[in-house]
Amino acid sequence: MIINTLMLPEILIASLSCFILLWDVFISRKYRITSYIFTQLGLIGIIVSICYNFKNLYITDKNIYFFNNSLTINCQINFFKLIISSFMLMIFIYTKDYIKSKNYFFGEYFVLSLLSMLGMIIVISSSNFLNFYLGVEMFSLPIYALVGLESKEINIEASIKYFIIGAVFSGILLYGLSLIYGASGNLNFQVINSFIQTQHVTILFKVGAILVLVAIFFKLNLVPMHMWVPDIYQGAPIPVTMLLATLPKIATVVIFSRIINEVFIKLFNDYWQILLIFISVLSLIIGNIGAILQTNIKRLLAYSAIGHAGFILLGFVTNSTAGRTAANFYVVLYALMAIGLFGVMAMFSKADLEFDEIKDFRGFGKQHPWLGGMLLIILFSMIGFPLTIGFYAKLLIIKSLIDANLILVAIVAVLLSVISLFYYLRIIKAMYFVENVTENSDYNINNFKIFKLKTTWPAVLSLSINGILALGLGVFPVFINSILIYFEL
Amino acid sequence: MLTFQHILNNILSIIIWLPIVTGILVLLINKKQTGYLAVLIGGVNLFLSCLMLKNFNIVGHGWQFIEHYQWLPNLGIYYALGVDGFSILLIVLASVVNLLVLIISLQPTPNRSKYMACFLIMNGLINGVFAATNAILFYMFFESMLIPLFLIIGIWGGQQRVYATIKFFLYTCLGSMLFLIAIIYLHKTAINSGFSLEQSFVIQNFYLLTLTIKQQVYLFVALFIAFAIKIPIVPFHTWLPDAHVEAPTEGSVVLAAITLKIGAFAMIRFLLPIVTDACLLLSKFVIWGSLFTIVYIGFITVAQKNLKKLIAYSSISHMGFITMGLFIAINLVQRDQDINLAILSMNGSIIQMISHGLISAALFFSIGALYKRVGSYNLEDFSGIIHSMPIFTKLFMVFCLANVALPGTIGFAGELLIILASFKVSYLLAVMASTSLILSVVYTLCMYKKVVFGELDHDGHNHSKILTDLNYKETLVLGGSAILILLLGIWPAPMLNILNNSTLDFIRAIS
Repeated sequence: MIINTLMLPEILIASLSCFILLWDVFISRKYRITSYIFTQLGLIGIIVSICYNFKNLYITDKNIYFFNNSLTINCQINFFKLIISSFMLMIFIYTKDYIKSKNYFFGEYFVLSLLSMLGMIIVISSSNFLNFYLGVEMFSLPIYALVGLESKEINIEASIKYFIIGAVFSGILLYGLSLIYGASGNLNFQVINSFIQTQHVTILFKVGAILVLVAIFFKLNLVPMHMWVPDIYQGAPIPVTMLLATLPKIATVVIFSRIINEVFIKLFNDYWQILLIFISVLSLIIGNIGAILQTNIKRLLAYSAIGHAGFILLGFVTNSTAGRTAANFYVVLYALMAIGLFGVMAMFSKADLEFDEIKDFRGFGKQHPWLGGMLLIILFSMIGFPLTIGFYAKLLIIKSLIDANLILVAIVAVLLSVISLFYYLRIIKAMYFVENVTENSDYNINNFKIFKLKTTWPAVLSLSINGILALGLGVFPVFINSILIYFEL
Repeated sequence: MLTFQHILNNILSIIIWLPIVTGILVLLINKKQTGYLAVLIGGVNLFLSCLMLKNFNIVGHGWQFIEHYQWLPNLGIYYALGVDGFSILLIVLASVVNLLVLIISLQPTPNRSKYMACFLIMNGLINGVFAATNAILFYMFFESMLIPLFLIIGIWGGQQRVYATIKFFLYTCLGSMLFLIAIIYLHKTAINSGFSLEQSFVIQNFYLLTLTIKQQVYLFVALFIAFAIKIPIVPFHTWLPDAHVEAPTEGSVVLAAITLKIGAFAMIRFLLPIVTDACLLLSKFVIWGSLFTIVYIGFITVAQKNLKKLIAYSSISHMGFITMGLFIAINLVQRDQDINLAILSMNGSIIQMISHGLISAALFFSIGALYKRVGSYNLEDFSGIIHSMPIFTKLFMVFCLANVALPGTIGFAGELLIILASFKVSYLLAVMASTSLILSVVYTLCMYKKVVFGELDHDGHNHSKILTDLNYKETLVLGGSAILILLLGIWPAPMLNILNNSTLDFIRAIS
């Protein structure tokens, strides 16, 4: 009964979200905390079941298919399921206090997040374009709703904007899939792959493939599909920004590398390479330059996310396993660091205060030395500085580029990433370099109030794990060595 | 059982990680008394590096005290350490300067323990730069050692510290990025020419690669920009005066004495032996560029009104001699086949690195001591301190004379050797380099005159009466550096003995 245990995580997530939904209806407002506890316990159960599945999977094994070849699993995919669900656990830990203080501590937040996570897990394990499409919709729709969770004007605006743009690109995706289906007569990854290898590929099919790529680029918020990103990031409440900035990216990058590897690998030619290089360099330019002048950290991170996405895409231009491994590694680390940074913002935003301006960080390092130190490590890791784990992610991508003789692209990419130093340094500057904050009393009183607020230990522990991982794995990268094979897709 | 041999086998790791771990501990404990722990560890580190110096085999060739562990073997990155004659001297220099810095910073500074922790961590990382034999490991230390310095200038610096520190950080990182690309490219070439993955990032294997002249020129540009920013050579120098003026005294000391040396050291490790042909091709530019740096910055220095800026510019000017010496050496080896003179020039550069490290550290310490008393770096605010600070005046005299390369001080040895070697390359160069020494006499002695002599009541500035002389900590630090400067100036033979074989190895690598 291997199949059953292999499908157990998905089944558990689905039943957990249904259970929380029902539980939340019948429980009185006073005991809403129980929904949180059940969610976390359920997530731990899901993580355990995913870990249990490693027993039946071996790193050298071929994929196991089920449901009429529409879903697949192998060791690497299982590993990414583990990553997505443990990051989800982390996000819930960080955001519990936030949503409690903002008075929407309802089951909806948990249910929608869990459903979104189910969508991501379906996406990464799909081996059929129909499943891929369903998964993408499944993880997007709950997020559209979550963005409008707070029902303020800015949230609703962001939600509607996100929904409309998302719907357009989902239409593009569906249209591309229909073209692929029309040309090849099937939507199964393996069948399409053998179709490409054996038969003449018509222009119809190629257009379909490009449209699929466009939809994926939209999910990765690459230029020129990036216009929505800053507004949505800023409009959404911090927990939701944290969710939509991290986990969907992991799922999208993983499925992108799987689609390139398992379906379009024969289609990949110099034109594709030039297209990808063009898009990633444009993203690096617009993302990094756009972030320079932002004062709102959410907007800043939105632009920096565009830049990071450009860097991730560089892993795909070489069409090599090493490059894709690098991209997968990079996106996971990026998500881990972004969760830490958003986590700090979520920890200190209370009631009517949004802790999301750079000026809010003034004096943070002095008031909270430990948290400040952890955030410092996380920021340097995001920059990709040596002796933090972010460096290895950057190194892997640059190495894959140089190994493929794309030296000029590598030079342009690293020089543009120097710009990214500047805006991360602005946060560090606010944390440490601003002297007695009395010069500007408005901020000070505000900050004083913020920093007096108590932080809860699970969030502090979570941030510490984040920071110590970033530094510890950077100093002792031997451990990376053994897990790198799990990123090979 | 932990025996002496165990310590000796892992001594490089100890002198790298002991300060870093202690620094993190000091940060976590965050009590004022931990400052003494920091000084203690600084002392232990100096002791260990002297122990290493004592056990260093001066007749041996190649790396010594080798350590080799797995780090990221999938990518060929190994935790590989080793020292040769160049790096062991620089490690000792770094340990000496760091101990002096830790002693002098035992004064009531805000957040003293954090301040000292930053210096300890930086010392460990700097030792790592000098000891790494794997290129990526080298790069990691090379780059990450900026973080403590960035924080030191940014948190404890002067008025314009944020501007200065961000400028410094961006400038140096921009150079490092090109360095990283060059390393990975060399690694790829090494793999293509048959080295195993384990050997592909070893710095010494890069020396054996055959590169076309076109490749060499590109690599030269990437590496040269990275290191020229650190040294710095005109026109990449604009970050340094800002960083120096805004940095706290101890930060300036480390910046001038050690951080700048890392650029020159990286040139010896990477630039000259790997892209030798390109270096020879472009050596004219670099030699005359260095001379231009010496003269042009010398003139700028004469015009300075700010004491700290004056010392900062003087330090850039003296660093010009180091690059000049290195490229003269390569010219002599390749073009004139004059090995002996090349050895002279190489040794001159290394000694100039050490002497500049000691002298600039001592000068910045002196300026710091003055600033603590007067509260200003402005040259106009000083006069007649000879009346109130006799001990300081005498020690300051030693440093100023060493700065103008007076015979008998260590400053003389390095510049003499380099100028001697430059005669073979071009008479004009030699004449100009030696006359440029006049400039350093002008600005140093003018400064000395203004600060030390003069009326007690100059323009109503009456600081000088209330000045107290050096306290015991400052006397210890300044006296210690004066002794070292004089001792090594009179008797530089031990340094030359240690350098001997490494210089020969180096000359062999570039010929």
